[in-house]
Amino acid sequence: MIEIQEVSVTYPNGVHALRNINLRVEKGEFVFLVGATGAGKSTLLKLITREVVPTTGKVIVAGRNVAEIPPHEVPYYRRTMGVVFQDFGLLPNKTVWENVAFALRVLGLPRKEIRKRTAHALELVGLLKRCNSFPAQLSGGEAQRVAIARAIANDPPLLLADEPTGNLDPDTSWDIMQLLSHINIRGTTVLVASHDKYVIDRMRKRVVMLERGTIISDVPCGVYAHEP
Amino acid sequence: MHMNLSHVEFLIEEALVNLRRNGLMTLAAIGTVALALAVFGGFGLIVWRLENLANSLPPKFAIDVFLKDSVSRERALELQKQIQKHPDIAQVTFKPKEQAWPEFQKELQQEITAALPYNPLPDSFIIQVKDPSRTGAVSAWLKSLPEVDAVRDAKEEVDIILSVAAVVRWIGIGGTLLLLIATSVIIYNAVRLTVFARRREIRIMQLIGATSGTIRTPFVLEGVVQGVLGAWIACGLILGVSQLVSHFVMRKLVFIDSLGGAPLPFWVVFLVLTLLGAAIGGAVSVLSVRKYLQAV
Repeated sequence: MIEIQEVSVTYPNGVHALRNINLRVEKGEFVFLVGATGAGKSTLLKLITREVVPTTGKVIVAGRNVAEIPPHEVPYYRRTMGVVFQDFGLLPNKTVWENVAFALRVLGLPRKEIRKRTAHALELVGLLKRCNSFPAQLSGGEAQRVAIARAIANDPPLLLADEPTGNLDPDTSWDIMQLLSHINIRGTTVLVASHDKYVIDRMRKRVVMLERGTIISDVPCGVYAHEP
Repeated sequence: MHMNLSHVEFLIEEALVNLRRNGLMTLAAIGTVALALAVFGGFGLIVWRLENLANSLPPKFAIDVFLKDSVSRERALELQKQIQKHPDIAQVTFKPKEQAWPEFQKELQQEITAALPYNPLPDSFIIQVKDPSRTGAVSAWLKSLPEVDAVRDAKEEVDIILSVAAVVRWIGIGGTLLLLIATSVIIYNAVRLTVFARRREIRIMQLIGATSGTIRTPFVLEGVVQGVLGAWIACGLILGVSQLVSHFVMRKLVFIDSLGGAPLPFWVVFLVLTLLGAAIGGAVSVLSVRKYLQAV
């Protein structure tokens, strides 16, 4: 699904975000990217969304070299993945329903199909009854559920989450992870960048640990107890 | 990229919903556009009026041509036809001496004129030139005609008015252009702020996989709507102020109206400002969004 080959990223300001990274994620996997702030987790996800292109090395997603996608095709490439942010990334002037439907409307789907998929996605995250609320009226957990509903509404094969529980209390974080796990079981490959030790340790999933731009450990069914 | 009807509908709906829900930002932008265009339009109107006034003055200065006493009435009428053919002359009016006399008597005190035993005035032509700047040349030609005794023109006055009109015109054109640039910059700033406030939305839309066109179009439509609404408010302001001015000021300065020069018809102001508002609003939206579209 994802192949990162000897990738380094140096930002224009001279910061080495990633140094010679190799990572392979198979279809249907659930992977945690862990590490302190600035370890390179976000940069790694941005390589996949093509917000960042590697300075050296190759990123291959679904058999395609991401760096070689021409700019006008990038929007279509991004429709093959759902993205969830720490700060939820909901459009503040749109209702819950409109936020989820928006992702489908930009695809140009017919109205009936949009209605069906929006309802389905909101039901999956348990927020169909709040569909007329605006983001400001939601709790953090609810907002993140809406963001997840939007990310999966299009049923993409890949879901990326950057610190999805960073702004949430432990119980809500656990619920959100359960939801992501549930989506993973339905067949979606899930990549989660996090430093939420409490959740990661209980999930028993593959854990890739980054430190100062390099991968220092990669264990299946791992825990985030591996402190240096 | 295929553009079906439901996608077009989606883009228009996006623009309208955004305008409504970003109410305060929208109002601020419309207000800025309205004020900027009102100043621009008001200045334009004043320049237009001055220019018109300056142009309307010189034709009032006709050339008077006095014929020699020896010229017969038949010859005079023939001469009128001949003069009429001159390419620079718009109109020739024959004023026979028996018509000029009572007018002259009315102008002066009757006691003086009544004392004269006969009509001392010659036959004359009153001549309007097409282009006031040709007054001197036309006068010279008229003087060279053997039947002509004397020519009276207002060449000096006409020249002064023409040079004042030229200055007014250049100040007007320069000022209008400067104001147009200033107006565009002010509107650009207002729209840029609304786009800046929503730059995160642009990023989110990009990550959802919206094409640049899908992101840009609602912003541009919003810019056009804001520009047009602002233009209409500006038209209202201009109409209101010009009514006030003509009601309170012009009544006391009647001579300005009597000098001539018609005011610019309101529909022209309306059309020009509406088109300008739409064009500037749309263009500055494209510019404002472009920066954020390049970011990712």
